[in-house]
Amino acid sequence: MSALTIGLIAGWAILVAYVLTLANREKHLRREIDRVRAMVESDRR
Amino acid sequence: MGNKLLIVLGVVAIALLALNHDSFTSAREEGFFYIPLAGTAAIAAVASLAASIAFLRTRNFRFDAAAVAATEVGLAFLAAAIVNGCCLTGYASGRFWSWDSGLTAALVCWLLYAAYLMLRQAVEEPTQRATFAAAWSIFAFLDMPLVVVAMNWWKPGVHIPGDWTGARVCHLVALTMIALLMATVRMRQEEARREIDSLRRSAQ
Repeated sequence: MSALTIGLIAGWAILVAYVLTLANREKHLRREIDRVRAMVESDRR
Repeated sequence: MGNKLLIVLGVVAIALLALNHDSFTSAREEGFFYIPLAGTAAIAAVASLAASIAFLRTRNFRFDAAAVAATEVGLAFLAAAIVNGCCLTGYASGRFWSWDSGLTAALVCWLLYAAYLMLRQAVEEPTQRATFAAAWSIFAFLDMPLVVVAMNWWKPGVHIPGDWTGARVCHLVALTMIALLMATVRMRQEEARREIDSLRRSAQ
């Protein structure tokens, strides 16, 4: 495999890694929103 | 941006990449992948600058979310461009890093935008954080012309600055669509984070 092919694969790998980071962050945010909403509702009661 | 539009954007980007697969993976284009990647990063930097100026003028936090989304996505694309550039350097000279003007200017630009994200982590008060970040984003953009000059005019030893061929323009369009998709998702996340903060404040 030439350095050029490695460069192409590495470039795409960085973008895929960023997309995975976004997906992971989305999961954490949804969990956090549910937790905070539950907290606010329990405070109202 | 609606979910349907985002899906259409993604499908068109993938179709563009698939239709031009042969020209993108030819031996010549593989080495010049950094050109459309750096072009997309530059577009993201312009978007970040515009959003930062808009925030400073209007104090609307949607612009702050757009600025952070554009900056983060641009940073990912610039990192990919630098790594691809390193591989081209390695292919041409056997050394994967050389302090030539193009690579060094791109690295300095990456560090400036990385500092933008670090600055955001350091300030807690939302208005102050957004204002400082917008000012830093405008400052960081001043490096962008230097990167363009470094890549095109100074003509470093091992880098042969490529011109905008049809395949590269096509690649730039597809990558820009993907970047827009990523930035929209990131922007929504930033808005969700702000909603969480306001919910927390109302609960206290």
